[in-house]
Amino acid sequence: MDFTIPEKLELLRKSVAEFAEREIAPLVEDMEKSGEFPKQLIPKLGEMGLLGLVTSPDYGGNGMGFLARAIAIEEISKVSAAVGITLQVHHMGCWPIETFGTEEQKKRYLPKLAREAIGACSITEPSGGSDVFGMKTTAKQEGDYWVINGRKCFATNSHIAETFVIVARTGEDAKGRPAFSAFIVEPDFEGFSIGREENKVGFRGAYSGELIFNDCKVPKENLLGKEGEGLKIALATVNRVGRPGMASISVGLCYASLEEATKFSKERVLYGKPISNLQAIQFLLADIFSYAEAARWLNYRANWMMDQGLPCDTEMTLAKYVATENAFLCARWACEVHGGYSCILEYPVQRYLRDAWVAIPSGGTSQVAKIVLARHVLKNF
Amino acid sequence: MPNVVVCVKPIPDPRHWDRLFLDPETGVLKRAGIPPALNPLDKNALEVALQLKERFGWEVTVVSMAPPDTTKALREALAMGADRVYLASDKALAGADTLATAYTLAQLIRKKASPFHLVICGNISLDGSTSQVPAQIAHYLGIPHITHATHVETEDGQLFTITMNIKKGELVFRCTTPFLLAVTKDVNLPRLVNVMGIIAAETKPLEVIDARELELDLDKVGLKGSPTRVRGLFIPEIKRRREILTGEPEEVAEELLNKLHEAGVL
Repeated sequence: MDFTIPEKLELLRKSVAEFAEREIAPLVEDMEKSGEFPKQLIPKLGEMGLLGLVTSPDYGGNGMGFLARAIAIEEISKVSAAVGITLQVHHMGCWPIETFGTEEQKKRYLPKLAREAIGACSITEPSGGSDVFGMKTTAKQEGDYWVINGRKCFATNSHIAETFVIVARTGEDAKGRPAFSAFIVEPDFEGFSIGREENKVGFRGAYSGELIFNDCKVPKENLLGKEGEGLKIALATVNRVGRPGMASISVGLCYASLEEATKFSKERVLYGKPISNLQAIQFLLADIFSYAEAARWLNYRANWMMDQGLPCDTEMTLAKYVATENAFLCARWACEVHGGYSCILEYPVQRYLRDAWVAIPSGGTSQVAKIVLARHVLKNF
Repeated sequence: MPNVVVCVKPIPDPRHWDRLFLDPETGVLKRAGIPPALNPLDKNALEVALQLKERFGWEVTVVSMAPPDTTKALREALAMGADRVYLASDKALAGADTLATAYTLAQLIRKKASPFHLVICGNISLDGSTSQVPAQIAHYLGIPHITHATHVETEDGQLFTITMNIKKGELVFRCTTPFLLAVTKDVNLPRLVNVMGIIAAETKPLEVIDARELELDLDKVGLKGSPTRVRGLFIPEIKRRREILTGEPEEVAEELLNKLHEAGVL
């Protein structure tokens, strides 16, 4: 058993941290105020190789893998969780095309997504997200097209993505249950439009909006996987890409909280000494550190398993559940270390708390994660 | 193919300098647990070389003298775009001062990176901060040197125009290759390492070379070859003293002048 982070991944961590500090940190204040994503960042994410982390070199990516992705998203999210979720959902738009797509689909979409364009994967609807059978968006085959009608909500990257992987109801299976299929949709397809943009409490600067399908004509060659495989594709993408992505963002928030709380405690003087001398503060720092490390290593294990090709759906869910919950606790404890200063917007700990709050339900609430985990426990213990 | 040589120094990562401390008993700088990183100005030097590589197709060779556990930091130079690294590393080289370091690096350049068009260094290292090594390397290589460079221009890769900032203006030099150039942080903004660079760096050559292979004169290297002797290291104690002088203004001024002379301030 070897827990050593490979040298190249340590260099990746350092490089992404420098990138985030140089290119993202100056944009955060504007993102917080405007809620807009800085589009000038997209080509820079491409030049850094971050858009192509999970796309193989055969299709224009660098294929550095999921542990590399976890470390990269972690470092970016220490500076901006909004850029972290933009990147992680972009990967959710790339992975299913490479995993389930035809050769033609891979060649058509992946090289651009690996270098210069943002992708997305959207499943949630007003009537269903975790309740997948609640999805009402339909797709019917008419000649050379699938005609899609319905609406997706809370779609990350809604306003900047150039490719969407979406899932729609296409009939019933042999048991009479709804059957779903996945499609690759481009924003300029006839009948497709972007709706409202949500004004969120956290992840400000990352778009979450509506996708509206009104007799949207999708060429039949844009069916992703086989007809009826939509649910399998959606669940695999959420489990293996979405959840570890949210876990990585949350680990970044844990460490951002740790660093800010520690720095503040060494600088803030009360009773003639830095408050880091007080055990009450030290206990908070110890808690943040413990919860951050636990989240990080659960996430690294799950992503390492993914890179090894091992079954890891439970480990991904476990990492996502623990990391998102821990990020909220770490941010809250960091706010406690800051006392009244945590209520002032120029201190970032309040942002970490808001971001962590939004991370918890993203990719499935903690209660949904616990159902998955309990199922595993009852089956295996 | 013309070769540009960049000298780099791995130093304790400046991001963790809050963990450095000087042992008051032994006078030794404790750096345990602080990972090595490239000296920041050496990245500016490498950036100059990489831009020349992109314009003229030159090869970029990085040379360094350091303990063998610094290869991780040197790999970053390869990830930025350097073609190869030669690291002089040997117990015999330990404890080198600037002169012994320059002698070793010059010999490494002669043995492994010659012929060269240009040698580029960072003007100063953040840890040693002597600024002496670049000029000393030039001395050993028998080439001219220009230090404190803030701007570098060339049309043809032969004739260079180098600007150096001085207190009340600028000095502009024109120099043909080969020569040694030492740059400041104002010369450029070093590129960030990207994922493709990290992957490419894995297969680029990073060769560790010992004193024997370099055919070094062992009387000129390491502690033995270093005329500089460190008598002690200490953290200067800074104290404010207050003394109120009274009397006629002329008398007080005279007394103040005497005291400043006595203190060696004037």
